[in-house]
Amino acid sequence: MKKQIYWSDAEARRQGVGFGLATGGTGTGERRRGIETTLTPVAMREGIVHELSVCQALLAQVAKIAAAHGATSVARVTVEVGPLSGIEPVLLANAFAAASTGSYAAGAALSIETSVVMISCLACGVESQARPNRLLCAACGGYRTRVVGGDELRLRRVELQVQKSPLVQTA
Amino acid sequence: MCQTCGCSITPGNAHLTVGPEGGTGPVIEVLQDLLAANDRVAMHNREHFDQYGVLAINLMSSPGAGKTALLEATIVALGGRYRIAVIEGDLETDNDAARIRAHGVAAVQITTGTACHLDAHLVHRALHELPLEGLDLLFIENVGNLVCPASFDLGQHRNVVLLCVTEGDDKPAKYPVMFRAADLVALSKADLLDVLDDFDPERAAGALRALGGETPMLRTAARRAPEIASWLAWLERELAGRGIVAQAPLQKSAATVAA
Repeated sequence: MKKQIYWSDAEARRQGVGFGLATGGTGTGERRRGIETTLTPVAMREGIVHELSVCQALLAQVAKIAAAHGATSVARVTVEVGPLSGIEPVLLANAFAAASTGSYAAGAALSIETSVVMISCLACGVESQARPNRLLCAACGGYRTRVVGGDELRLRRVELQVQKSPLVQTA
Repeated sequence: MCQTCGCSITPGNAHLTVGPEGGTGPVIEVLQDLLAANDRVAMHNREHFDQYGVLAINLMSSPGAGKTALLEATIVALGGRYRIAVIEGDLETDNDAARIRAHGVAAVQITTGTACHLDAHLVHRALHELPLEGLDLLFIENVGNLVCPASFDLGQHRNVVLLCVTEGDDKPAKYPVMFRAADLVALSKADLLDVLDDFDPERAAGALRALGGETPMLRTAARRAPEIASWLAWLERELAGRGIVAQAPLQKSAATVAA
């Protein structure tokens, strides 16, 4: 049975599967009017759903890596999400729980490493920590700065599960 | 907020997010941008634009800030001299594309359903419906939203963010990711500043400057008596910077007849 994730009640209605699907991020399938659906995390009903798009891109990368190494499943996925990445870690975690169902990463743990915003001053050259909405040099107060950390949105590592003999030797 | 974010794990979903005790297979170090696939297509879009000598502008703002109205006024002001097309992103309806087409300009409507942003793939698909070789300027009007569109490169050359004066002047401080992505911020509906006492353009400029860099801010008023001279000047500088020259209106209509 094909699983569907609906991003909103409206979309679920459009697909003819009734309403009220989005009641929590449990990710467990539920059958309505003959179509199996996956509960949609509440956070994704509020209109901020780009974390789901990002999560789907993440799962595609993970699947590629898992397949290339002959893994049967994935134990843990670690990502780096900086405060200036535009991605909210909690929403990404919710999206991961729902979107990973049925993929290589189903049941995998998601570790999200955050970072701090670091800027480099173009005027005085000092590197300093900054708040996401105040990227001013801590030393000279200058506004001509460059972000050198804190905008990461990266897949850091994948911990694979390999049953039986692995096809690829580990380095 | 914790540093490795277990805060989202509740008794209800713990069985899904807590994996087995360590993997039995290799640990693969990756360090790849999560949006690498989007960025590849964005790069491809940009190559198309460059190949055909088209300036591509990604226009973003909250819903209702006046993106379409600004494009309409821009088309009226420039339409005779530059060949313009518009890609419209909305959740539903092709109302905005219809408004653009009413000015005799090609418009492709992308309806995203429930998605809150355009991505490079959606734009790439829309490009196939546009005669790029006959264009000078392509506007991509993103979905009205100050959050999600900031994360997705579409292949544009410039990001323009409208900040409507009926919104708070602290919007750059509230949405730093979006405003940091801007190459230009336009205070839209600026003709309303006379009747609004709670929007201070200086405060908005200060909040924008606090995000670092020297993003320029200018004012536009697109309806009634349009005041968009500084916006047009910025656009023409960008066009000239890419070697895109204005067509003489007469020449253009002659070419159209010949075609």
